Amino acid sequence: MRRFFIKLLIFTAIIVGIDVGYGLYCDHIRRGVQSGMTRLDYIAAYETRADVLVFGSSRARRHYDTRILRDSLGMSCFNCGYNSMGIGFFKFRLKQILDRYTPKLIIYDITPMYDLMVSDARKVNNLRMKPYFFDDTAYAMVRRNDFKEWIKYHSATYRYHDAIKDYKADSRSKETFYDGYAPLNGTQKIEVKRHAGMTPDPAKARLLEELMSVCLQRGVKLVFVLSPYYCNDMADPADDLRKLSARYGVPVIDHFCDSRFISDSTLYWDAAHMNSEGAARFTRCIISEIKASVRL
Amino acid sequence: MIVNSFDFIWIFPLIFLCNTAIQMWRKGSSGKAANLFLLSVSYLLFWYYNKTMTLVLLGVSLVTWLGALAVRRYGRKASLTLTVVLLALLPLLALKYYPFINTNLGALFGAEKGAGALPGLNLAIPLGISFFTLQAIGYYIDVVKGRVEPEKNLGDYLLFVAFFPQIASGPISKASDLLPQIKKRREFDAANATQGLKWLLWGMFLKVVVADNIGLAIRGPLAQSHLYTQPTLIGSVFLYSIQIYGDFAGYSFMAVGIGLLLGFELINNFHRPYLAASVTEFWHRWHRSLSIWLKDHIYIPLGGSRCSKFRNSVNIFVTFLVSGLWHGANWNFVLWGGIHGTAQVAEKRLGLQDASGSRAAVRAFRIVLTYCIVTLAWLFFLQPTIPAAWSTLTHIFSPTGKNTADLTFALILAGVVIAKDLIDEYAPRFRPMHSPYVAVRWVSYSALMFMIMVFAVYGEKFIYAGF
Repeated sequence: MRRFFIKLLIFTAIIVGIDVGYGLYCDHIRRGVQSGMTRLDYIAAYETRADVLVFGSSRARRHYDTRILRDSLGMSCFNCGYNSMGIGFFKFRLKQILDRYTPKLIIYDITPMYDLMVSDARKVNNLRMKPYFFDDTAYAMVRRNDFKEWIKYHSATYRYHDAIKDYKADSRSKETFYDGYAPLNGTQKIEVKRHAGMTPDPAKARLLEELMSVCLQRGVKLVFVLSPYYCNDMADPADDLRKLSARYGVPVIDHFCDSRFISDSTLYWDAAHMNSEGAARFTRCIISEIKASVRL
Repeated sequence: MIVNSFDFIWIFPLIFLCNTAIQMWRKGSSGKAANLFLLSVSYLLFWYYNKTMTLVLLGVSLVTWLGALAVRRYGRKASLTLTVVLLALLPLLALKYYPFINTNLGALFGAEKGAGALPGLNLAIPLGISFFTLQAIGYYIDVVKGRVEPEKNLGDYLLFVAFFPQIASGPISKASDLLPQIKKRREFDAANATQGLKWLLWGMFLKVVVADNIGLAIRGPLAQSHLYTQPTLIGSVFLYSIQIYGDFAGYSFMAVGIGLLLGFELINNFHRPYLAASVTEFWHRWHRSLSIWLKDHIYIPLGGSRCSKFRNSVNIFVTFLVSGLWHGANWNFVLWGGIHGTAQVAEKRLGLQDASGSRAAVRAFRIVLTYCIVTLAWLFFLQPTIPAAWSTLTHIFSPTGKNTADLTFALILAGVVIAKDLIDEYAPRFRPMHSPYVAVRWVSYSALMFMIMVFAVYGEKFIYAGF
């Protein structure tokens, strides 16, 4: 029996060793990817020192043309927008960035489903924090979100489980980026999605407040923007957002139900994302509002 | 507790260590303490899964246990047998077959399509009900037939029915196999435990890597066959046969492995079924415990082969209709069973059921032919209705779609499984996990474990757990 258990322990040690080695290999692959979202995520986490940052989901990535922002604001700009990500992830991203430098302005594109309302966003946020799991903030956030997942994340093979496919796909990606901004060209068949029945998430509200508090303490100007959806059927969350942000003096620029945008299908690639023409028009539209609201 | 879940990873080692500790601590005793522990664990796990259904499990166990004791006291009365069997079958009939019976009665009496003749019951089929019901009824019938003595110890009997490694998807154990193991004192055996870990590892690989990855790859083509090209559909159908094998055999091997680790030898349900040279032989290699149960409790009571050829053919056919119906409460399962029954009747009448004396080339041809018959029959198992299965079959032979799917990884996994079965069947001394060289064995264990960790699909259910 003793020999059996000794062999079992040796096998367990081998597996732990393989797990750690696999984690190092995946991290090496991740750092070597030079295109796609993997590269953009790396730049946002470790490299960028832009004065103006754009936060938010894929809507942020598609709606804010960094070239226009750079030329109009006279400051360097990087778009940190990340597909399906919300406040749970961006609070962590802000911490990563502030550990390196202090940007002057953050433009946060609010997506109700990811930043304000109850949804499955926590699980998805956890997914994107996987490569940074041993960062103190990410470690604590994942543990708070889901204890079982937090335990599993200690295994590198679990953390990087599907990641290698993404890294390899991104390394072959030919998508064009302009400091993180990823324009969509043309229009595909627009299927309007219905968003009835979403309820506010107090946990996300708390995270938004924490984000605003950190920005205030560090002297980072912050502005929330509600960009438009095509044929929007959601209630405008601007009032609720303003109530939340008033205490921290964070302005809210509201184009959620802007009739100039929400009914013109030529400006959209799909119902949730504007195309390059829509993004250019929208970015120009909000420049003066940003300048006025944060006194640049 | 599903064995491919995260909970299993930390719960089972605790169960194993406690069981081993009890065996060591109570070395001189009869093993009652270990049985009590395993019984408690089995019921606790089932209770955690579904509290109400735990009562169903207990109810079926008590009915058959008391019924068997009543046989000893009152003799083998037909009325007693009928009562006990019907009571034991009642939950299965109500939870699994009531909607099917109701809908068909409704169709018979002219109700609207899909509507039943009687009020509907909106109840989910509990995990493993088909398995533990058959196991309990099998015990009772064995007592009636005098094959086993009635079990007086309630605890031992409850453990026999509820033993957690096998409750979800079998194997269906015979009382004469499992009860003596429960009753004897079990001691830790390192060789068995090592073999158990090998079964567990291979079973886990088959399920979470092979079956689940193949399932993801072929889901689209088999759900929308009209959109896909012929090569994609043929590849997908072939891969489905590997998926269902990996899914069911994977669970079964894990159950065998867990059993060995706890000191029990459960029947190995799968013996390289796709290397069968006839459909008859296939059923000696696939889900063997069900085949044995059907033979003992359906085929032989109907007359078996001790009757006219015509009657024997009917017996075979009916047995497989019952098998189809056991797998699912739907006409496509009945048809699936009918296909297997028809094939076996044809083999029996033509003298083709046994290919052991055939030349290698003939046997190889028959293996391929048997595999094709079994794989095409799986379509009726896979699709929810007969028209859906027929539609997929039609699109395979007359494709209408232009889409393709990337089946590369799935095909590689299928190749690994086929290679292993071929080695096990024809060149067993080259089996990596049983190599005389320590390094080869350990590299194969580590490689399997690595593949499980990197390629496992999390959260997919067992196909057979739905029965």
